[in-house]
Amino acid sequence: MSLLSRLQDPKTSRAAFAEVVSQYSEQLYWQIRRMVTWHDDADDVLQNVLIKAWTHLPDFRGQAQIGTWLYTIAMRESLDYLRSRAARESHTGEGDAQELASRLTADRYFDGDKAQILLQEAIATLPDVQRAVFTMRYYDELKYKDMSTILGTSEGALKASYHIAMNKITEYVRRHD
Amino acid sequence: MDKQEQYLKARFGRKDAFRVPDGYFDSLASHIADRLPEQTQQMTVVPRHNPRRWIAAAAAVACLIALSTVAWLGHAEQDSQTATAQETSIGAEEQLIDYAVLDNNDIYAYMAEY
Repeated sequence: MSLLSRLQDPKTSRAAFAEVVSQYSEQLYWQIRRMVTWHDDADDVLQNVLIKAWTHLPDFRGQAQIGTWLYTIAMRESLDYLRSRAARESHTGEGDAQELASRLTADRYFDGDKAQILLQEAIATLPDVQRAVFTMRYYDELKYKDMSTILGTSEGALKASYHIAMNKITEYVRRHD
Repeated sequence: MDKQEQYLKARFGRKDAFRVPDGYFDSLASHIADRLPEQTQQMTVVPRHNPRRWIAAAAAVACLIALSTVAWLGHAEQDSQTATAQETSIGAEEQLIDYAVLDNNDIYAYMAEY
């Protein structure tokens, strides 16, 4: 019996979903973590993603790959989380970068050097969707075609967005190096 | 790969420096399993012809056409378009797609169906 069949059968769906969680949760976690930066936030978003996937499982027909479907949920929930976090917090430009650097230095779940902190500062300056595009392309090396499915945006817009993100990050790094 | 991407990958690599608590992924599956609701109570019925989707999609297309027209007219008036303006246009398009087309639950259900 295939995984899809077991996911669709109420008698086996819970066990089958546990397999899905085991297979995809680590990959999803890192995708989310690169978006939201902090472990506690990533943990919250990941749990939300998996519960939403479970909730929508009765609708899943298997035409889209389950990995792509989960990735879509993860990216959209991460974007929603960033927007709600931005609405809660005030922004002061350069002050944000200094605060981020201090928090990363003190974070026990971050062990990067100054260069890695600088890169995180630069990524944090990007608008949310650009950050999503950058992390998907730079870290995960996703194809634009797949990114287009996940973000619901044209490949041309994604290429332009990635190019702009690259420009901004490179400029930030060179200015603060 | 363009020069900037080559520069960043040479300077920073592709691995980030994030870590997780010890055993986090080992306990995650059971933690999630405990939180899953009974699915029979959570079954969602997604109408195949949801009028809201069509209205939202039509509104988004109208907005994109309007945006493209404004961008084209702006381009015709100005010989050179600055990078900032281009970025604003792309950002506006992204926001339209994000906010105007479908809400997240509709997208998850839509992708699950097809």
